[in-house]
Amino acid sequence: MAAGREEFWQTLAQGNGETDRRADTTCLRCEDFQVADYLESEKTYLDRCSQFTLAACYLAVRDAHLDWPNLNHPRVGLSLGTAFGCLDSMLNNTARIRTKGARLASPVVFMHSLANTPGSVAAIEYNIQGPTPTFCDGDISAGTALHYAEQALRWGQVEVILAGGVDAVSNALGAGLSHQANLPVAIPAEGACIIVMEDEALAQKRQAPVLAEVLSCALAADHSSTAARQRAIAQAGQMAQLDEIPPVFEPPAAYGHTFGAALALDVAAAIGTWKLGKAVADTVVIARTTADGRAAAIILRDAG
Amino acid sequence: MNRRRVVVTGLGAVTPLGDNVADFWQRLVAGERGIKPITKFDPTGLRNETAGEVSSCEFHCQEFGLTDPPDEATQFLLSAAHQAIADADLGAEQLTDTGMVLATNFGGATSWERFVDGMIRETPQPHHFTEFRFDSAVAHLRDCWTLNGPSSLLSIACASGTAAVGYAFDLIRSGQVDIMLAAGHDALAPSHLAGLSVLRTMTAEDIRPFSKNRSGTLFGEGAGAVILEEYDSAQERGARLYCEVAGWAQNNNAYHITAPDKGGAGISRVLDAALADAGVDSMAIDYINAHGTGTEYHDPAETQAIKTILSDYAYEIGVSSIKGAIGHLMGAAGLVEAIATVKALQDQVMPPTVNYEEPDPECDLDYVPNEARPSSISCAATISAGIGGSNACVILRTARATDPTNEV
Repeated sequence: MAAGREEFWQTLAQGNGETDRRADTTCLRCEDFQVADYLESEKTYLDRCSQFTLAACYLAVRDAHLDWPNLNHPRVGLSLGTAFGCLDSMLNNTARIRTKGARLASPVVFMHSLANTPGSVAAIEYNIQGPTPTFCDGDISAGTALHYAEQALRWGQVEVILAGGVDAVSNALGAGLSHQANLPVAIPAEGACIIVMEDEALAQKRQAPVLAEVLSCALAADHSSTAARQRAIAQAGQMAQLDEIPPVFEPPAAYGHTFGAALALDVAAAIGTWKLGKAVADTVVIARTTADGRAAAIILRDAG
Repeated sequence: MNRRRVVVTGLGAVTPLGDNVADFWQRLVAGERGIKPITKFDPTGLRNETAGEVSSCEFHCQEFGLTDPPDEATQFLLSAAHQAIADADLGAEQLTDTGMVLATNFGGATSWERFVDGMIRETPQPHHFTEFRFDSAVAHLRDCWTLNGPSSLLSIACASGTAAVGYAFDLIRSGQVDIMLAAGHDALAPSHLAGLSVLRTMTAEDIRPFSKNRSGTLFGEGAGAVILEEYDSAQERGARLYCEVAGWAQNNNAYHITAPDKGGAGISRVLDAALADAGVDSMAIDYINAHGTGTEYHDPAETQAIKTILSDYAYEIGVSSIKGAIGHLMGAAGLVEAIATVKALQDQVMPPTVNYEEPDPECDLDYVPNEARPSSISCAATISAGIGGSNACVILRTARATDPTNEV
């Protein structure tokens, strides 16, 4: 529905998400996306997940006005969540081997099919020499990635970390999720969202355009998704040392259900409500759950 | 942030050298090898038809409250986790708030292949997809033991297991949880072995880490699991303390998606950062469990990295790779190698680099060739590196009553 935060926010503000435009759509694809629009060098083969990740990293770095070439790159990280990883490439790789035999496996397709490939190609492209974990935690993947990023900043392991999530829709995903009782209510969608997180003092020092303050991140589990969500939100509130739990941000349906990217997009959407003057509170909780009773919660405060 | 101390209180392993820690360690120290011809599928077309298969793990669904067997990789994981939980003597009361960080490269690989076979026949079975999903392992573990602490699954190729230990350590020392399970798992399957075969990381001969005639690695399967606990609460409940986790680091070479950087810059930075995080001087390290894949480029790069950080002191310690004995266990490698390091600290024995044949001027450290060596070990490092450029390192030391980082 958008590339870049301003376009994303404006589309949300106008209520023009793809779900509104195409009522009969079974999934939401980034139809007009071209990775070449975001890269300086040609890439001969990239899974769609890697393409989205590279583009989102490019947009996030540009948006944060970071002096990227002059950063201390060993202290720059990338924490990425993905529910399914490079599923299209995995399918190509495995189907080729199952039909043609092991000898005719493609090294290029194989190495671009791993779950950590999007993070790896981004590390190479942007010279990210700090930690680059990939988390595969279903619908809370981006929440785990943001949690890791917050921890890495607090422990001084990084000065700047890109964090978020990515997933792409594919035939394999459609076949795999069909007949599942716990399909998300929102329409399946694809995309990536990357958030630049920095140490507050360093961000202030370089007069960065601070969009929001992360007060806390929590991961929790319980016997049900609802109970896990409550537990994660309570823990996040405790960690943020808040007397009252702030209101929970309700993600708009406009960008569909983006699996591993969902919680990062929620963060971007919540910040958008502040920037567009449509927020209900200056501090909110953003939470997502998995069907198996896990939850991630983040408390975010408007930086003004 | 306040720094809480973290100790290892439980171990579990399913490996090509045995389906429990005692057998694995005994046979490893004895210099045995678990690499044999592949029997679980037709290996035709692979560069090498041998691997480290798990042959002794009998999985009984009813022991885990399951009606249908999960993917084979998950079976290894459940078995290793069961051992670690029993070894730590954790009861239901403690398990309720326990969290987990899992590691895998390929998830439910066998189920994925069945799913793809279905796709090819245009009759895909969604339950195969569900079993393949990386996070299905988290769900299975939670179903078995009601682990309601923070949980996550990491996948950064062959550094996953070591990073899982590190992230679990972070969650405890930051006060978010008192007990964590860190576990890694993967099973051999034709499709990812074919990929690794054509990448030519797999040797056509035998795996010989750090040896001049090395020509590549061989792969294996299994699972490793460790229980990490906050020091005071572990002491309070009378838990056995295997050792202390002192610090860790993770980073990326940002160099090439498959090749290591030849100077080992990324590995040297990760070792340096882990030592700094642990507050440990490089000359306090007594033993390094190396990644040591046996590939032409990795082994000298790792050697150079160790020398960069330890200088001449690198020549005074033992550096061994257990991959010659069990193969490269992929997502389980870091955990099983961490267990070998824990046992080295406990038994004061360095496990050997088996199949070491010929000294290499580029790999000129003491690799503990072919025979285990009794040695005084109070502090050790375990290093992992993976496709995609990720590196991870964990520093372990004997658990002492006082915090060594507070000693002047």
